[in-house]
Amino acid sequence: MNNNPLNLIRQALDKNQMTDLLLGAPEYCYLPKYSSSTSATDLAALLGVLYDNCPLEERQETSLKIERAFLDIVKTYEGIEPSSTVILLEALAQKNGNALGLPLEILASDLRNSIAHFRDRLANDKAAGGRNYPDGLLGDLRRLSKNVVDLGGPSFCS
Amino acid sequence: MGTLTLDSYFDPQVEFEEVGVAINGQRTWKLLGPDLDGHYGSLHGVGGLEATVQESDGLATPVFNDCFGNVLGAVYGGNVTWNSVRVSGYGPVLGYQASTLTPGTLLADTLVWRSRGIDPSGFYNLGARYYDPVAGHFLSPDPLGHEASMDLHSFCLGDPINRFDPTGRFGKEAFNGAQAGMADAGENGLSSFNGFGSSSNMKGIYAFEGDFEQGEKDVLFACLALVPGIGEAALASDGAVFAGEGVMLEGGLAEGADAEVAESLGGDAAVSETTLPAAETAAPKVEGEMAAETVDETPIAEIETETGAGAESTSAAVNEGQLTSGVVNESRAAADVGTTAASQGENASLQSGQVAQNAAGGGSGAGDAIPAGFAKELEGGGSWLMTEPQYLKFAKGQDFIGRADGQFMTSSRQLNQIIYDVGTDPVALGQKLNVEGWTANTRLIRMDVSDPLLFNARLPNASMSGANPMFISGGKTIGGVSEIVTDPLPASQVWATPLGR
Repeated sequence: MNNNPLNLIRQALDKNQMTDLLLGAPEYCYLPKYSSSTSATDLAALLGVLYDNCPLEERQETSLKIERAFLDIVKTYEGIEPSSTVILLEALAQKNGNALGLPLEILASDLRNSIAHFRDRLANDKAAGGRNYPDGLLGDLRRLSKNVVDLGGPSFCS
Repeated sequence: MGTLTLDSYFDPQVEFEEVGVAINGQRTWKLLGPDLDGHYGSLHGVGGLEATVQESDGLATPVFNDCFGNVLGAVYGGNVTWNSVRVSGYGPVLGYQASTLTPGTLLADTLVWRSRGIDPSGFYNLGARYYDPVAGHFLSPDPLGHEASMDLHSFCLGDPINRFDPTGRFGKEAFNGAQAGMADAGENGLSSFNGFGSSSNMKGIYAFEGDFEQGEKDVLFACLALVPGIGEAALASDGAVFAGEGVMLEGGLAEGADAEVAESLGGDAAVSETTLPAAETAAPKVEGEMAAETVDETPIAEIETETGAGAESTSAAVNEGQLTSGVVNESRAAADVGTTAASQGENASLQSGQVAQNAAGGGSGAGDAIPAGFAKELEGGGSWLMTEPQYLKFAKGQDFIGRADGQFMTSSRQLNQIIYDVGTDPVALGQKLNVEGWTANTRLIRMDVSDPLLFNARLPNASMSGANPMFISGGKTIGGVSEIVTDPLPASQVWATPLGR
């Protein structure tokens, strides 16, 4: 099911359902053509739209909503992968000059702890992004962390 | 005694890739195609030189390379002049002296060893370091330290036949799959130094193939016009033409704003032959190989986007010498064997028979067969666009790129045409390609694969995850763009180019 991403973001913000959007709840699934996403939704594309189109006056509030949602999900296994995407997007936005102002170091620390907690499970998870790595999702998270570091952000997986 | 001023022009997206030189202000451009490993810029021009073009009078001088990228000779006025300078792996053989660039010397004559011009000092500037061809070592220590070079100064670890160091930074990690692939191909194994990891930034080559004028011939031309700031590309019905008005390489060639590099390469016969990559034999190319029906080089775009802080990506295109008729896909075979990832990858499900089957309209896989005409078009490459966040999330650093149920893409030719028609505005491109959510602020990355038919290409069906409500069965968007899906692609076969920046 594909919907207009701007509408999805607006809906998630208005209804305070950013957590659902991050976790890819069915009503927030978005998979555009040409996406290389390995799962049912393309959070990177969605958040990319948000960063590109968030009005200046709404950025602070949006940032708070995303941060709250991040903290809701980061401690869950299902929330690890979308949490890494949030950090990736914010790091990219910092490089491009349109960041929302998320506290990247703090978020990365939380994600690091969560990854450490679920390390074995992640290493055995060959679904989605983990399919290409001998250590499963852990390998993909390591790649994403490196990409974040390349953008000037903090490492969250080594 | 007058002053001699030498200027070099570099591709802003390929480190140390010299695309032109000027002597006392008189510019000569290098026509660069794929390097020895089949990808533009990945060996920083070694083996990629097709011809030189003088800006002042448009004089084109096609050159002949051997399998090491040494320029053996050049074509002047329809005649081949073989270079009298003999070279070894270390440089000109003792007793021979490579010509330095002077007002009376043609650029092609100076690029004897590894397509590199010798400095008036007698040394070669290999990018990060100067190299002494007489002593056979670098003048300064390896910037990567002892880990990369035991004695810090040696060249190619003492093995310039099987290895090459095009930049003076020969890290252990520098080797990539092309090395093994070339060895597999029976090549002597010139090692490929493919960029600098995540920070590498390569530039692409785009070419059209098709009936553009009067339907008489396939005209191949580099699409300089497709890139912002490049201007209009010129076409001629009688042969390969490359032309650029305006800034040739955006951001990197400020002085070239008024450059007009246009020259018919002499019609059918005088087109410079593309230096074939991995599968090329060790034998030097000979004049006879330049017949019109000889070889066509598959258009290849190769670029690694630079995502480092402060990096300003630009778009550019570089001409690729092409020919007119008789398409023989030797380059496809070369690309295949030159890529170990394709042979090692579990997802690379390619057999040549399957390609033929798909091309004939009997493709395998979940989707429908590809019409023969479209399959032919796809031989020139497949392309798709993704946003910068998507690239970082799903592509950068991955070994395989694409969804398991099928990576959507169109032909490179169609994407070129779309960009030609609507420019690089993300909104317009999104409308044309039926992708929602791209706005004026969206940063797009163009992804190119040299031969999508090698990866179980088939027409998409409505059950695929990319088949959104605007999907039209049969593999066309409502914008009229034909599409296919492929299996996940080895990253070594995919090149990324920032679009419109």
